[in-house]
Amino acid sequence: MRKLKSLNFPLYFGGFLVLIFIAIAIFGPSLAPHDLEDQAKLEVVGTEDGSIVVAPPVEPFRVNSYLLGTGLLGFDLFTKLLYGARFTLLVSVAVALLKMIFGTVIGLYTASLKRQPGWVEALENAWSYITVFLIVYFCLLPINFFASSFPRDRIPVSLLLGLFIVLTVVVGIPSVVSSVRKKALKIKEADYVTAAFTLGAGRHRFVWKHVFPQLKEDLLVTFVLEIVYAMTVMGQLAIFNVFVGGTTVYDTGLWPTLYRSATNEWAGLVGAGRDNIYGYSWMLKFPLISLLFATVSFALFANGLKNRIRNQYHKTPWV
Amino acid sequence: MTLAPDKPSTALWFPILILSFAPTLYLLKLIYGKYYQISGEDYIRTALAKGMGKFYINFQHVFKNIRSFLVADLKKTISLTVGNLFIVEYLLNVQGLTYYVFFDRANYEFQVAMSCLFIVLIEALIVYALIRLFLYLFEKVFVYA
Repeated sequence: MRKLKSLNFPLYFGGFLVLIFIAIAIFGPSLAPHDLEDQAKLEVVGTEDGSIVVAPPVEPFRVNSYLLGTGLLGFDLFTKLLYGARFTLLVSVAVALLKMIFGTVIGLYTASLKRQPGWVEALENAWSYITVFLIVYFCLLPINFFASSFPRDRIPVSLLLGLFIVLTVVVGIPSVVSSVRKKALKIKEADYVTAAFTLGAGRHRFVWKHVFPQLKEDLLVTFVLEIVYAMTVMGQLAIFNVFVGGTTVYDTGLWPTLYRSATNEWAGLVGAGRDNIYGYSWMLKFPLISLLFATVSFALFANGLKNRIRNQYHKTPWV
Repeated sequence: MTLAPDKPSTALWFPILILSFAPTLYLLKLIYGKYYQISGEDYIRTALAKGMGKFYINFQHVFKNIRSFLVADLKKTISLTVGNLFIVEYLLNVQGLTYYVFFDRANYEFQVAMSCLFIVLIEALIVYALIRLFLYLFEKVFVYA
């Protein structure tokens, strides 16, 4: 029982959930019951209770071939989720990874300078209060939308994805630099660092032999948290119909204007389903549950890693 | 948020509640982490060994050490709240300042949008000053009484 209590539950459970998410991202498209272009057509299907009429939007758990139902335009929701997972994972991991790499290197080398330049501190101070999603929103607003009737006009998905990644990374780097630099400066005060410098250690040695090994675990936790944060930014943008990878606008004159994610990434599906909270609520519910699953799994995993590090290195509290 | 006399201001409690979640959790996480770290220090053990009360230790030893982190992260917390304000006002249909920045596309004017952004900024500064004042009073009453 004691052993069960001391088991780091968040680490193992979170890690397990993350693995599931990665598996969905990799194998999703090959597991999908439909193609992305398959639209549900009006048909009569025979079931045990008699025959029922299937017409888009199909309700969830009604017909086996459309397990989670379809959207207003008749595209299968389950298929969309399976295809979209890889974009959610890829974009968030890419953003987090690039941010961590650039932020760590810049932060460590700035910390290794003899005198900290004042403008670095000023920039960090000013920059860390800026809301990321506002900047990205105004940058993507003019280029992210394209009409469904003119598919040739659109900017390629890969370019839009790349643009989002670059923007978020550039806007997000200063906060990573700031935290890394401050931690490195704290280590710089230690006696063994002074000793190393006296013995003639260069900047590279200080950075990679003295500071980096100490920050390794900390950086890992920050990396996983940055993944969650990137997903949050995607979700915030999706609320305003700016979907990562492009927004297709269906303006047929018959519907209210529909905004759909071009990549079907999960935050985009949530944003697209938001209009159907009344009436066709499954279009919102299932993407929302999926997105929550993704963020919670990474957040749990980060928490587990943090617990592990804390148990290894920290002192026990007295109070 | 609105102060206009013809708008029902009583309907604002729900947006305010929703908006308060993010900064509350953020500060909770921060304080919890710092508390855990500081309470492992030797001077806490000494104070405890001297037989000082928990409240005394919390205010005189732990709080004084957490304070600088709290003040440093206060600005970040407020910026987080301002960022969320845009989303909460949009989702819950509050016709506040952010409405003119973002969504009044039909009669969009650059000057109006910009001045609204600046007023949001000034509001953030006022909130910051208020929290600092509250913190000052809190210290006067409980810590340096």
